[in-house]
Amino acid sequence: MSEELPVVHIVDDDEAMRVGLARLLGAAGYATRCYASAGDFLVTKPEERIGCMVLDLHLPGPDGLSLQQVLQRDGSVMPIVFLSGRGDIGSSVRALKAGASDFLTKPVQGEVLLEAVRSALAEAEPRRAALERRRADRQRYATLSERERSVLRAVVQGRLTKQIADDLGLSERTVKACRAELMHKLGVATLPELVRLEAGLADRS
Amino acid sequence: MPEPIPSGQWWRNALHRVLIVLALHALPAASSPASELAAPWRVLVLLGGDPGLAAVQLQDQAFRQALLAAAPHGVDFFTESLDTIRFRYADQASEFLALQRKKYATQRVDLVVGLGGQTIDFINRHHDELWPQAPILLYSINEETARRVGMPPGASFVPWRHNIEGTLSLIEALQPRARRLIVTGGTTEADRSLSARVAALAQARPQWQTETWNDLSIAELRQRVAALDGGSAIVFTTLSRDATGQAMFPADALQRFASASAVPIYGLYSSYLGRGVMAGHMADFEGNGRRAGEVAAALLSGRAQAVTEPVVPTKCVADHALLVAHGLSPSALPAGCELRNAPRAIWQDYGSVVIAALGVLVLQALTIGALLVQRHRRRKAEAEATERRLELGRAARFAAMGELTASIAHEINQPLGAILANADAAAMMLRSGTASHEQLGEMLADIRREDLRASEVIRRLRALLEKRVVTHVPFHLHPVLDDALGLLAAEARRRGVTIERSFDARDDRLLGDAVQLQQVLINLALNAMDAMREQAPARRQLSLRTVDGPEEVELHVADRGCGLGDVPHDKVFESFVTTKPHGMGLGLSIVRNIVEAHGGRIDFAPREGGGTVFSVALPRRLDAVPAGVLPDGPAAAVPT
Repeated sequence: MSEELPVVHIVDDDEAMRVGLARLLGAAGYATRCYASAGDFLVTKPEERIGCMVLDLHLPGPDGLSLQQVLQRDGSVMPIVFLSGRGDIGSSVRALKAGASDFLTKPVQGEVLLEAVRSALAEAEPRRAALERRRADRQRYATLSERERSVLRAVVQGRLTKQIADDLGLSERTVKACRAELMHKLGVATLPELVRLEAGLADRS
Repeated sequence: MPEPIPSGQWWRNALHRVLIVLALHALPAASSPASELAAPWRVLVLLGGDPGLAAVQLQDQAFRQALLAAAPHGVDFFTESLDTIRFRYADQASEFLALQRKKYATQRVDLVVGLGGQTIDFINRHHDELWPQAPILLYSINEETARRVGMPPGASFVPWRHNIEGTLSLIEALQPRARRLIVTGGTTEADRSLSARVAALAQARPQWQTETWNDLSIAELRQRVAALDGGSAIVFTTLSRDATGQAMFPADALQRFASASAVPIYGLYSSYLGRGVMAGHMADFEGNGRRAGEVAAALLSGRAQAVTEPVVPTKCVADHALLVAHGLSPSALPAGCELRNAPRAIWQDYGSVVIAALGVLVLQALTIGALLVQRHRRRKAEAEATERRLELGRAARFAAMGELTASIAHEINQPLGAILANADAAAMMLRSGTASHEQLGEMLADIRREDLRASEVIRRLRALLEKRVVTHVPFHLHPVLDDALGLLAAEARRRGVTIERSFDARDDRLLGDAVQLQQVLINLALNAMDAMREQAPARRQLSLRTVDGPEEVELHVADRGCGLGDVPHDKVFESFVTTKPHGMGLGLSIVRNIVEAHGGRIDFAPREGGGTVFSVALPRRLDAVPAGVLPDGPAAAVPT
């Protein structure tokens, strides 16, 4: 069951701050992991699990915003609650635009932080589910043959069976059988479901 | 009353013109040959009194000078003296007359001049015999005598008038409370006559009890004047012979008794001034002689015949020293009264010198005053400048702190955040009952430590920004620099600048103001960080070093920045010179002010491998800071 326990990753260069936050979040029932810098976090490369980050904006070396960018590039969906020693509007706007869950300034009250962490984690659950689904979809997609993939592309482009048959040099019957097969492989029953799935596959993240 | 002198002049001028016309018409028939006209005038002066008498001498001299001045060919003077004071003329008349006859039998005389009333009788009797052709001029004879004796027919006359009334009025003015008037003189006929006239006029003034003292010896006179009380005044007429029969000059007699007198003595002759007379209305002897000389010239040149001149005016004269000696005020004198023997005001004699000296004094005083004012203003300006420098320094520190604000906020918020997190965690643990004593103890310890950390930042800030006077105390440089580094470290972190600190000076004792030197470091370090803004992060290295100089501690602040551009070397430390787009250009000028106030120097040079090094040399002044006296500075907060 330990896999299901949400983990809060705390990135702050100030040890006292780090320890204080860990104690607070621990008391609230969260598992915590502490990192002293962005590099520390990246090197540790924690497994993608249910959880969120409490990230200090100002860090020696690459700062919080840089870490946020790197994680997004790597496809992470972990929600981030930023903490900053000073209310810097520019930084907060950039962080929130890039998808940060919240932006808090130190000293932050326990209740406020816990609320932010709670909503970040609530955000994390559907995100994780979507990620899982997308991952499964990709796995299913991988089982498709080359012909099935070609038919799939044509179907979601809205071409008729006859047109597809002409395009690919196949018989209409073969196209129909191929479409039924790929829908079965991908586990969808209707055309709209198929379109949505294909769109999700195209999303690189 | 018509003005006497203008009318006389008019008369003389008219006569002159008439005579010239007559002379022109009568020239061919003139009895006098041309050679006679070119000869000097021959004038016989007959002196009535003693020739040594001052009054006689003064008048005679003035007479002769005036006549000589008017004579075209000079004057031949003959002088004869009757000396009627010592000798009775009747006793020697025949011998004197015989001598005169002999003298003037062959000598032509153009004019006979009689000086003094004693001469009238002689001239009356013998003129026709001795000098039958010569016209007669009489002067220094008062009108009453002339009337009494009878003037020779056809004689010209310059009358003398005593101003007895004027003198009596002067006594009234000066001594309004006097009740006794002493008229004193001698025993000769002239003495008695004048005394009697004065006494008669004085008796007409009822406030005085008038006495006449003519028959006293000088010694008696001395005693009696000495015994007079303050309510008395003396009028001295003339004293040519005293009661013992001794002949003397009146002025000498006066001098002999006047010194004993307790009361003021008044007189009618100016020759008495300086001899004991205090004041009087006096005729002027010289003026009288001069007037007679002019009349004589008119007679001799034929411009006039048988002239009677108006009376010579008298004037009020007083002796200042005697007025003061008798306790009388010069201000009581009538207007126009001449004051003699007055202490000469210093600038009567040395007027220009006094004025020059006063001018110099005034100029000096003005100069001194101006200098004092200037000094006062300079002091004030200096005080104001010091005050402004302090204010400016403080403002500059605020500005520097403004640059550091973000870092400082971070520095303070960090511990505050940790404290809050710990406190909230502890509260939650206590609420949920999961708190262990050990955990709570750790948390409290952390809270305490973080609180101190925050206070330390605030202490440093306050130390730097406090409004305070500049101190001059011994201190160690390194802890002071480290304190400032504590404020700078966060900023350096924020800007990604690495600080290399190597405080290697072994003797860092200084005398001065620690906060100001912190400002030096902060300004130089912030400049250095600004200079490295565009550099790659790996190159953003700020090196802070101290080394031992021979007599100084040297602080080097080196960056890897862009340098100072094309600002001239000698302009770098001036105010409002800056290379920063938003800089005010005050940082370095303040730094230089502080360094120079500590007797130090500051300079800069390009750094090897790029960048700039600012070097500050601060004299140790060990003489003023004995080793061991210094307390240790605040614990060094070594920057990370």
